[in-house]
Amino acid sequence: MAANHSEQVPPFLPLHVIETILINLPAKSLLRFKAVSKSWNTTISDPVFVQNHLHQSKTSNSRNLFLCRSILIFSCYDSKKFSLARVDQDRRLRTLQVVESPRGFYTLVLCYCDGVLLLTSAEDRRSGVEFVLWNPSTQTQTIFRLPFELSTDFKCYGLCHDPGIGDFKVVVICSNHYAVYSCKNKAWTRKKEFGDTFRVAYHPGVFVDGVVYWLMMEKDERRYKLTYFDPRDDEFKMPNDEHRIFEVQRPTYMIDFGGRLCVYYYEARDKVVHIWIKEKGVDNNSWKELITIENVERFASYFVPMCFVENKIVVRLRGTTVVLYNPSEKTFEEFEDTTHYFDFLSV
Amino acid sequence: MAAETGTPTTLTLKSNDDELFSVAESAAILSVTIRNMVEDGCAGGVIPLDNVDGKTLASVITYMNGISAIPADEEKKKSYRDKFLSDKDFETLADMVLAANYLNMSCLMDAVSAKIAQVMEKKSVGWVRRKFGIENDYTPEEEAAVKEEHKWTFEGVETDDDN
Repeated sequence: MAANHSEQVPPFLPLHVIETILINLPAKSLLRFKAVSKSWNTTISDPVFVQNHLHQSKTSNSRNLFLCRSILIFSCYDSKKFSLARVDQDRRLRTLQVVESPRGFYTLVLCYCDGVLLLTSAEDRRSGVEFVLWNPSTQTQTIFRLPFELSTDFKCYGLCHDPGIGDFKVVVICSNHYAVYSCKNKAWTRKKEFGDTFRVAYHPGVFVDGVVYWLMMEKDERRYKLTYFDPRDDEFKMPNDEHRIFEVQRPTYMIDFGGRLCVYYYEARDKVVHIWIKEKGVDNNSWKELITIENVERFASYFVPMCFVENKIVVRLRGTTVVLYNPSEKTFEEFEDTTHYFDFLSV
Repeated sequence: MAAETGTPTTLTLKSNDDELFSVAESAAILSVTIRNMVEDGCAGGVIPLDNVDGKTLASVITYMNGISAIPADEEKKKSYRDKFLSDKDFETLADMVLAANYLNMSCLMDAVSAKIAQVMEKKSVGWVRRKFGIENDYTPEEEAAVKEEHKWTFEGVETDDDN
């Protein structure tokens, strides 16, 4: 019987079984299979399916995919290309796809979430700052402007996605207030002033748990404080962060590590980087130490943990150097051919 | 429970092509469908499973026995599932996903679905239509338009292996 499968009548799979199968596919295959039939196209395009797929893709974080700005040799910053790259077992980055970014915008990524990037225009316009929200996998984009009266000197950006209502929100923190752009309503809301200067550590907001996290500095500058923007009511909130990782002032950074909020800091005396991650969920504030990286001679903002390959951790060092740290031997092995990759965004 | 007394309860399952299978109750109740029948007391004689053929049922029972012999260690269960499914072809996997759906076995359903997706990942649209028995209801123009919209997704597709 098994030998004659090709002559067998294909099985009839009910729609919910097909959905259970499709949810495991990467976006590239799904988009291709829209061409199978009208009903498959309807299923794959259904907003509920899209949300479930997103959730599924995020929870299986073993794919180790990154979106990188491509650098062409001799033309450091004019490259308009982004590459989707996968970290492979053999200490290589494999380019899966190369896409051209929207014309007229810098390729510097202000912030990103759920595979969507926020970029800003190459030239200042009188009417305000121009932004584009760009989805490299579907090659779609939305352009909008931050009105001049809302923008002041210092800016810090955050982006969040509410799959429940299919809205993307852009948060712009200026020196003493913040503004929120809703893509669904196509409108800005200026939010109330902060009492004093909003002292967020300068970095893009980190979208995890459905909210955007920032680290801010306490007034006496002795402690970091965790804060997040909640897209449900457009307010900033202070979770309970009574944890020793926030206590002492030292170089501290925050990133999204495989869908979890991750904080890491450098202990210069011991030449050690401690990496902590938070349990999932906006209301869960328990932290645990993920890994300690020893023998770190130099540390700055370019030091970024990326992902695990088995029990070893991939770290971007300065420039385009990417290494694999072996915790049992405390050694670093360099990746080959990483010179084309810059600015790794976890996708 | 019965297992502790040394005389495990055995159930008899009957496939839709009238094959009979004996299986330990403790393993069979991985299927919510069978567990409900046991709890309702209708598992006294032979349990007829009208939507599963003998070949597939034999395979499902191998899985039931194998997975229930592994203690609560998710890593080991996962590696058992991977090994169990590694040599199955598309048709067998499709039969198994239908059986898992009918028997209401979520762990098998999830594992087989993921495996089918893995098999499909780099396949062509034509391969999927043939294997799933789906009729192309697009007009040539509509199909070309849908393909054009996501042109990049047609790069790196494997050559069909079913012809």
